[in-house]
Amino acid sequence: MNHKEYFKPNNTQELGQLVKEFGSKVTFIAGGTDLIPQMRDEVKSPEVFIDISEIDELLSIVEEDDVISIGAATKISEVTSSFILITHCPILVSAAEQLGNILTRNRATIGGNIANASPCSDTAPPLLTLNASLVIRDIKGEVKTQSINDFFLSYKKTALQQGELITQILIPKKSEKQCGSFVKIGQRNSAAISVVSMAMMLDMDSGHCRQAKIAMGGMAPIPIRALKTEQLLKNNTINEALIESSAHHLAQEFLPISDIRGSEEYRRHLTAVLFKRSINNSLKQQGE
Amino acid sequence: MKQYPIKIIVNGKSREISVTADETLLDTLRSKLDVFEVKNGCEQGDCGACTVLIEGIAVNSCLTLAIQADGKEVTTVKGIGTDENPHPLQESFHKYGASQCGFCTPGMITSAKALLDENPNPSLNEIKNGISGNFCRCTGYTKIFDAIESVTNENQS
Repeated sequence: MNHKEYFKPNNTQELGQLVKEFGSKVTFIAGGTDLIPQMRDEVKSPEVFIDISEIDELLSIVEEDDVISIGAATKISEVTSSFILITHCPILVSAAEQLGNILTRNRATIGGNIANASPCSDTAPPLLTLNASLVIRDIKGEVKTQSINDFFLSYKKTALQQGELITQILIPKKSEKQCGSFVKIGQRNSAAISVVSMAMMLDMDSGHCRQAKIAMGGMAPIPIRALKTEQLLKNNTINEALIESSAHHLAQEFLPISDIRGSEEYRRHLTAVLFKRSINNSLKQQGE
Repeated sequence: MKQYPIKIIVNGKSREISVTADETLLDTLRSKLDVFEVKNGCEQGDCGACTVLIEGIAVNSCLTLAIQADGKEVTTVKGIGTDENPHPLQESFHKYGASQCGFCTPGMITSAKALLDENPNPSLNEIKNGISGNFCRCTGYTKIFDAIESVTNENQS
């Protein structure tokens, strides 16, 4: 018997009432691009859908004094065309442009891409390097803010409890100019799920690296920061020798899986290639 | 079985039906509304054969719940033009031989329509991006690119 229920709240008050009423039975849906294939494969079988795709509070991109706030139900195609994000977070826009294909980008949302917690989520690595925070609404309607660095726990497991919903993604505005890049390798150019992806943000001062942030998709059970390799770059002068040794180090920093999209060895090889590509992209932006 | 009455405006015609909460728009269109020009290819958003426009935006109908299209305008390749009055894209696909087996063609033309509505003068790269969600396993795409390119504003005037 199919007793599945569907509700589309118009605002957060209605959302709160529905979450209170159905509690742990709730499955949130917006774009559905990750959820619907999982339903078809019988990995997920939602009882109560709550469609959050038309709640205004979850749909806006706002520039505040020190943060950019992105509503969780913002479509990836809106991320790619947002003037605020193109100005302040080009690395996120670049990743969004490479997510799936134009048809999926027209449905998929940034909150869904994070909450689904795929190891090769395309928006997670840039958000990790941007030190983003997630605003999470709990089952009682209370709101907390959590760093994305603590959000991914293990394969497809996140800090979200039953009935909790990401409502906004907050990105701190940068005071000084940083350079960054997002690169990925998939099996084809469009609609490709990343085999390995990499986001990199560098804070450079005439050849000297003051701060480095690197995050990777596809190399671990979760999207993850490469903290050890970051330390190799930090407070060092970037030269060919350092790039070579850091690339080698980064390729060994994680224990990637072998799966249908690539072997462990291939992923390590790609990591070194992407590292060199990223660092050259980043330095080029600085004219260094 | 819990059923929800919904109304979808398919190619300008209002259609009222009942759907379950987890039914996809693709299933509803094909099995309840006889909209067979929307093809069922992969059912996971890889191939684009099921492309429709919802309120003018190109999406995979296999990745959309039917109930999410309640009250909305859904356009298929048949809504873009008719036998008597075809859309320039439909004529150019014919003229350039841009379909072989034809299975991808409805989705391909629907994506191309969304592209040209937003950007009447796309470059070749923009055309490639515009149909990046649509697979064609026959043509090698060259004739499809040519067909779309021939109806850009520049080549029409």
